[in-house]
Amino acid sequence: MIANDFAEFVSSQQVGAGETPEMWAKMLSEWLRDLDGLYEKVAGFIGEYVRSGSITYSFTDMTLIEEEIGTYAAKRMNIRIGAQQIYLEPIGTLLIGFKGRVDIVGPMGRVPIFLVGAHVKKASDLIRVSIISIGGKKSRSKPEPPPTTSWNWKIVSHTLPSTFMDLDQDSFLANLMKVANA
Amino acid sequence: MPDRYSGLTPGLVLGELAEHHFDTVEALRLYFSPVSPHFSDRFDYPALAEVKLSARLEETDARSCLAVLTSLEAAFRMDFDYGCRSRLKDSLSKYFRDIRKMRKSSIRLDEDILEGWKRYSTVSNLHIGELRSAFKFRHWLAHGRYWTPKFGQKYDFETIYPMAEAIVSGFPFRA
Repeated sequence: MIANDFAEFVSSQQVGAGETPEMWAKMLSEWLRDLDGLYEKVAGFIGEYVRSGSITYSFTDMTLIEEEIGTYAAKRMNIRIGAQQIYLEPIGTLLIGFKGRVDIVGPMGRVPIFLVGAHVKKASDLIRVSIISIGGKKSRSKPEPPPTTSWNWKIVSHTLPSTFMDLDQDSFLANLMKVANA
Repeated sequence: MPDRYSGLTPGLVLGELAEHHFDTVEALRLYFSPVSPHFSDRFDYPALAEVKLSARLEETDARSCLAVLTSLEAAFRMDFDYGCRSRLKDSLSKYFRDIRKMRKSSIRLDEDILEGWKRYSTVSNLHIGELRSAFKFRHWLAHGRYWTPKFGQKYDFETIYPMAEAIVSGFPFRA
């Protein structure tokens, strides 16, 4: 039994274990799909204004470079409100603890939106690491978080410790006004 | 690397670094806004204030990232030191003691300490790669930014701080 555990442990620790081109391609494809999901959500938040013609939006392709994935194109959402131009700018997917980041960018700065596990409420929910002893047993461990099965877009508060709040219409519009200096 | 740490928390703790950062950003925004005293004496036209504000915010962001990443490095090094001094039987502590014997005081964050975590903890290779990449950013900041870096991703306080918070609370550091 211990021999099996040890073999599994050795295998899991090989350089680049599981990091195949197929895995990076899958991550990229998921990330682009998640971006589309965010844009769809945001389009819903501003739908009333879009229908009345007071807000318009469009998309522009951006080139992103990530160390493992390489160079790829991702859509930026451009939101026009009168003379103001606000962007939803994709930043990347390979960010420690996060599955992705998109910034709301305006003349007064930027506010990041992170794609994290739906269960994440604070930074300490992002990563759990345990020490492994020979035989595969864990020691010096902190409680494991639940496995991430669903992901949500969230905004991080500047209160301490940081808290992760679900992106909803109110939080999106409040942060849009913040970067637009409304 | 010193042979032994004092056991005191070096510098500001993470939360204090974040407070300092956010206070500085707010103070800069106020200083460069038209409601600031003597604004019209300091800037011939508002657009100049906007350009200067943008530059100050960018510099503040870089300095805050450096402060957070050095604090994070201190957390890894203090844990390493504890692992060396303790008689704990876990594989990581044993590995750290072997490394200390071999390299004396020339302990490298990446090749020695992060490598130990990669081999003897459940941290994923992906996260170790991301951490190594973030510490390359710290290296660039700490060495005067005299070369054009290729990080493969955007680093700023909004990414670095929650990452550091997540690591400090998610890794079983003992020191």
